[in-house]
Amino acid sequence: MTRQKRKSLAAPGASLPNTLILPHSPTTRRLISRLSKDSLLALVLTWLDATRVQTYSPNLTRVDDDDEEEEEDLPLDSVREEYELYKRSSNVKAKDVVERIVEREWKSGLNLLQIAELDYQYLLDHPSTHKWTAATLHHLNRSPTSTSDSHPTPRFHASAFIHALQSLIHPMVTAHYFIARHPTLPLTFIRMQLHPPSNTSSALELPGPKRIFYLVFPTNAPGHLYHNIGTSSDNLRDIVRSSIATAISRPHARFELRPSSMNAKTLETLVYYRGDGGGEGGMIGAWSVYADGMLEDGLLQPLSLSGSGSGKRDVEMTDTGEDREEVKRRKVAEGRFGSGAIAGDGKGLESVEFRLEDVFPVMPREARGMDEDEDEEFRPTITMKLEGTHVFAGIRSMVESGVGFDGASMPGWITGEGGVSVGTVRDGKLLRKGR
Amino acid sequence: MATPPPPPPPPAALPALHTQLASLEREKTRLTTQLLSLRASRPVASASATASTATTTTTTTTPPLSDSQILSHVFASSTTNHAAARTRLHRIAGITTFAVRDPSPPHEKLLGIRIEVFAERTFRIPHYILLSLPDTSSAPKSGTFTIHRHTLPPFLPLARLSLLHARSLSAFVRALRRAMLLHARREAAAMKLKRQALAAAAAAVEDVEWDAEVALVTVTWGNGSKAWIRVGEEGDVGKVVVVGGSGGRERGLERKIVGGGLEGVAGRMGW
Repeated sequence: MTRQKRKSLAAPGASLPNTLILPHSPTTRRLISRLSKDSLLALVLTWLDATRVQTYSPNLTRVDDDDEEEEEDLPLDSVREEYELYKRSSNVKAKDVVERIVEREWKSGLNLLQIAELDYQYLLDHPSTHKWTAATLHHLNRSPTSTSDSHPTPRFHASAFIHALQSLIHPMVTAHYFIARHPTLPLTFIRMQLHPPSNTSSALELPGPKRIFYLVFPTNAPGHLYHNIGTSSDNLRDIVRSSIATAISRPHARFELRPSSMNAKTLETLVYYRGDGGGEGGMIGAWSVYADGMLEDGLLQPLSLSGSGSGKRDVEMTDTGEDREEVKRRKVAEGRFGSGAIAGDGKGLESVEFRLEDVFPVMPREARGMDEDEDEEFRPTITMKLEGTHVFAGIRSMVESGVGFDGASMPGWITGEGGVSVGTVRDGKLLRKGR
Repeated sequence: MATPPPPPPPPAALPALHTQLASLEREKTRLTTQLLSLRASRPVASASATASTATTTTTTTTPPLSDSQILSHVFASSTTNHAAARTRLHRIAGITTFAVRDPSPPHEKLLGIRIEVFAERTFRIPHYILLSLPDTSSAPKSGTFTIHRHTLPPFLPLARLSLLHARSLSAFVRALRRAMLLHARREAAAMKLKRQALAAAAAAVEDVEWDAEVALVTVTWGNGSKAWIRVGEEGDVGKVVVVGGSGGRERGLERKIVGGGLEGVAGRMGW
């Protein structure tokens, strides 16, 4: 049964091969030229690696000699050396390297793998160029009677996933896939580049940015997925979005992709809030003391000698009244924000939006002078949008300087402990949906 | 920065230094404990001396301490010490609870659960779960607990366990602690395997890696061979694939690895 199924999945057209060459065009040229000189040279040197030269097929014919007889190719090592020289020489600008790539080694164009690598390298160099949405894979429980394993975790295996995804979207588009591991974060990237299905025979051209998607799977947090497909509705995007869940499903474990109220510009933020970075359990803001693991001494360590009084003395030591206020505010901020929300910690949210659906404060009945029957509560919807480089760090600094927010009485969701970038607040509480 | 770092000791001296370090640590712990017990049970006379010096540092003019003040000081310090020691003793049991007040306005009261796991000769950093219990005064035995926040790693089957033991909080927490304990043991076994594999020169193992859950352990040899070992929850070896440098399966090695738990892999391989 399963064997048969696998066969039927394998039948439709395969994905576009790595070695397919895209001729140079202004858009592909831009992909090369937007990288810094160092990144570009590092990448090109991997392309000129002796073991991988088959994939990248550089054109090694000599160009400087006029002798037509001398057909011998340049040895790979000498080409590598020339690029190594560029690296050291400060006279050679990035532009010159691009020029050389386009006119010498890869004259006829770059292949799909190179395009993907160039794009991916740019993403690593400039981490906040995309808008990422965190999504979760929810189990679709069709039969509530089965209790044995009613909460299966989605399993992700990059090449199997790509295979399934390709067979799902194949009728509409052909695609090139590129898999990569993030160098520092525990993430697996899948870059999809969608091409229209018709032109498999004619020359390929680079599709627009709306046809290139990244799907990012956190290694240690199954069930989470970050993507930059966006939320706008467009047939192809909808298809890709719904295919992701289908591709990761397996018999008896069907999943559905749902957004999880979190958008951010950097993946580091998403790993923190929706990965294994500590924010997933909700120990953010005031609660981060628990996640830091420094709340209590280790069980086998000797009891600490100083009592709890030492902290209090610090406050009293500062003499002037103004200072004492400031220290107090800083203490309050520390209590409310914990170890999080510090500018420059790389976990910043750039845009936070809350919908407030609280009951409008009702005036006393006599003062209203209105119809007594009108007892319906009035809930206006107020949308609050905060923007900046690191919204919650900004709020923290406002609390510390005593502007705008009162650290002691402000609600928890304004400190970021709700762990969402889009949320609805009702009766003073953040609604927990989609998590 | 001006002073150059001391030259690294020759490698032969390292184990000796490590043992010296360990013995010094032990000595430090012993002395601290001794000091603490002395403080807890020291005579009133000594307490009056330190208490008065402690107060003179903050306020310049102090009336001489009365006997009752000295006594209360001694009682207070010994009570705190006793309470701290008792909390430690309770925490060794593995599961302890505490009450938490939410700092944001509705100021809900939450039940905190602290789970501690002992592995590799030390207690791990405790994990915490904050739950809200149903209001038992209005409707006894109704509803279940709700998990508010937790510090547990994402691979623990929190949702499944909380559904499975929705009716009994203690069963749920015990099941959770069991999962954590098993994970700690798997991790310890994987670390031991790595130590043994890298120590055995004949094995020519380049690296041993595992995922956060310790469900998949990969062993890489210097000659390009690679083994993928699936590890079950209880540290048992499930499926194993060993691919040699030339790309073929190494069935002999696979059979060797499969017969038992992750703990014994190094022994079976002769590392």
